[in-house]
Parts: sequence; structure tokens; C-alpha cells
Amino acid sequence: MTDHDDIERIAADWLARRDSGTLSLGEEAAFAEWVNASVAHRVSYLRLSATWTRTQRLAALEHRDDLAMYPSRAIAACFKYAVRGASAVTGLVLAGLLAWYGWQYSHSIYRTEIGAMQSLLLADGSRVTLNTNSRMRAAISNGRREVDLRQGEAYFEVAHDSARPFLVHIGEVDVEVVGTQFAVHRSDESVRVLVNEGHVRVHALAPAGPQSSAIEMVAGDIAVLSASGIEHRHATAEELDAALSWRNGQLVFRDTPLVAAVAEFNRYRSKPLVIVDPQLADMRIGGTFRIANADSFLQLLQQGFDVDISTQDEAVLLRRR
Amino acid sequence: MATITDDWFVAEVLVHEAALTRFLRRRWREAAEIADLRQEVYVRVYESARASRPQHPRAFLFATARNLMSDRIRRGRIVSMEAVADFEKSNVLLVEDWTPEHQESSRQELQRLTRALERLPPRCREVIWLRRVKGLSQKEVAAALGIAEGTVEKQVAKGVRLLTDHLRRDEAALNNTAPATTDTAGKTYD
Repeated sequence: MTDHDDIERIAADWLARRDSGTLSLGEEAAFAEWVNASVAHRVSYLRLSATWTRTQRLAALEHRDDLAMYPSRAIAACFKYAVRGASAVTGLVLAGLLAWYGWQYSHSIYRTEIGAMQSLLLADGSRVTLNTNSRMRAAISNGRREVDLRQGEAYFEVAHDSARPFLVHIGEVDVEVVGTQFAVHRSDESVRVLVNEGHVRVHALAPAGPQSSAIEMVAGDIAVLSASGIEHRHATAEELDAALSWRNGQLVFRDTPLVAAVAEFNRYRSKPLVIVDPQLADMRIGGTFRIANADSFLQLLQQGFDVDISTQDEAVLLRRR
Repeated sequence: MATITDDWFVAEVLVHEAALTRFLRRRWREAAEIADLRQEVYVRVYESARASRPQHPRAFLFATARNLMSDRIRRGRIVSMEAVADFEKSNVLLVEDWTPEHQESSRQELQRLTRALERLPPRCREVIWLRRVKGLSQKEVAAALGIAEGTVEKQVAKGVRLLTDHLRRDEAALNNTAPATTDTAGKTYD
């Protein structure tokens, strides 16, 4: 038994060595010598190498991030992010500790490119839809469910589980849910939370001290948290629809200043729309437009509002005609 | 490195490992010796095949296993009276009807691989995931996890051994569609 075990150990080392991509000619010769030295060596190696070849099929799981397990260090090394506040760092430490204690947990990172939208399932069955240019980390374990929205916007459909609270960290804002549907948008200036269904509790760390204030939000509520304070109100049905229209691939504007409409479109574009003449900025526009195709929007501006559109290499310029 | 016999061996002999292991377990008392026994069966089959390819690989594999076990018993190793008695009862070669992974869909194979992967210890699994699922090079895996390349290699070595065991055991469990037959009820082959 020990013989076979020793041989298998050596065979495994050789397989890993040969798979490393850094095998020298001398080592390859040494391997050939070892594998030819006895049939027992050869057979042991073949058995392992057959498995290794089979694992090539695992590449089919490339997009199954819900099955992945990434250690906390991978986040720091591979992904640069703007950290606001302590919550992200605490998340990393927590993940590291969990790994040390061998807890079962699933820990994944998701990102969308500019103009992309991705809907995905978390390990607990909750569904998250990530909007353009967004980054999110999810850590689901036996005892808790945590998501960290690093950048962008996400819509959450949280699977009901009263035994495991669902927490969303957005910088210094924490959203705690039991079973509900809500959206979070993180921009440089503020965090916006919007509840579609159910009820959430939002915690915001007060800048002055450790005491956090909590807001209870119900379906139809919007809260905007920024440096200037917290705005919490009930939204109209149209407002809610407009704010969530991205999920249908649309943008809805209602008496919206052009500068704001352009800023919104630009979240989904790598070639930005730029308003050259400042008089255009306050022009009010309304309508529903497909996100993927700004042409109808630009056409409306051209025909209905006398705007001159000039497409350059780096940007699309909007001028007064 | 791979010779024609190597390819034949992987395709025609190793595929039966699950059945072979079960075969050995039913007849050999010392569970700890099974892996070793199996390896020796493989060696004999390989050596034989190098000289001349057996026409019925599966039957040959099982016949070799049977011979090896009786050799060992005859050589008078630590063998209890019960082991010998059990063995002699099984003088009929048992062959199950089902065929192994050749016939499985690639979906089943992927499921099996995923199950095996999920059973790996966390660190080992991370390495294998990044290497095989994400397709990162060893260097990239080391950088991503903040560990030395040597450590990545060690985890690959550990992983491939564990995966092999898990995969073969999974095959044994899943392919056990036939009810447990007694030795004397088996049919002879060729």
C-alpha cells in the first residue's frame, strides 16, 4: 500500500510539474527516465493524467461564478476598486477568516462592462441584475448573505430566508433585507436605494460618529444618501417605472434637463455624448428610448430641438444649430 | 510520451476502474490493500498488452485481477481463513451488464467533474478552478492568489489525486444500476 502511495505521490508531482509550463529540458528527461523505469510508474502516471485530461471539460463552467470560490486575496490582487469607508475592508477580513475556519461559503465577484447588463443567480437563489459598468462582490454562506456593491447599479430579487439576513453594503450604507425587490445605484456623489416590493432597512454611518441612523423603507420608497444628508420619500409610480426602466433596456425621461439625460445615456456608452453649447444644458426633453441605440434620441434632438450632431472619434458633440 | 498502448490503456482499461474496485472489494478482506492490489492488476495488464493486445480488455482485466488475488493468497501472505473461503466461492467470474463512461453524455460527465471539484478542500479547489475553469496559467494563478508558483503546483498535484479518487468513486456509485448479485449467480465471459 505504501509503495503505490509513494509512486502516486511522485506521479502527481510530475504531472503538476509538467503542467506548470515551466518544465526544463533536463526535467523532461528526468520525467521520461522515471516513467519508463517501471510499468508501475507508468500506470500510476496514466491514471492521474487521464483525470487531468478530463478536467479540461471544466472550462465549460467559465461563466458559472455562482460555483466559484475566490479567496479574499484575489480581490485585492486582481481588481482595483475605489474603497469608500471601512465596510469593504471588513468584508475582506471576514472572508479570510471564514476561509481559515473552513466554512462552506461561496464568494464571487461580478462585473459588467459599459453598456452591458447581466442577470445572475446567487448561491441562495436570489437574483441580481447588474446594470452598465457595475462591480459587485457576493459572499453567501451558511449563516449570512452579503453583497458589496462597489460600483454602478444593481436590482435585487432576494430569496426569502428569515434565518439568513441579506445585507448589501454600498460604501458606508448598509441595506438589510428579508425578502424583497429593490434597486441600488451608487454614484460618486450619492447612493440611491429604491424599493419595488417588500421592505428594507437602510443604515448609514453618520459622518460624525459610530452611531448609525436607520431608515425603514417600504415598497415605493426612494432614499438618496449623500454628503449633504438623507432624502427619503415616497416615489410616484411613474418615477419608479422610470428609475427601473433600464431593466427593460430602456431609458425614460420626463421633463428632464438635457444635461441629465445625456449623463444617463453616457453611463451606457464608451463614446460619450458631449454638450458643447451650455445653452442646451437646461433644455427639457421627454420620451422613452432604447438604451442600446442612442440614434433615436439623437434624431429627436436634431429634428425636434434644433441640435446639431457631430460624430467625432472620441465623442459625439451636441451643438446649437 | 504517450504511446499507443498508453492511449489504449486509458480508453479500454482505466474506464473500468469503478467496476474493478467493486470487484476487488467484494473479494479481498483487507480494504487498505485494495488500491495497491488494483495498481498491480494494472501493471500486469499493461505489460501483457504491450506484448500483445487482449481482444476483450474488460474480461482480461477481471481475469488478471482474479489471478493476482489467488497468487497473493497462495504466496501465503497474512490471510485469514475466512478470506480464503470467500474467495474460493467466487470461482465464477462476475461481469455486470452495464458499460461505463463511453456511453455517458457530456452533460453527465460535466456534472460528475463538477461534483468531484466541489469535494476538494477550499484552497485546492480555488487553484483547480482558476487553472481549469478560468484557464489561467500557473503564473497567473500564483499572482491571483498571492502564493508561490511552487504552492500552486503542490495544489495541482494534490487536486489531481483527489479528483481521480472522487471521479472513480462517483462512477462506481452511479453506475451501480444492477442489483448486487451474488457470486454464484454471475455468468461466465467468453
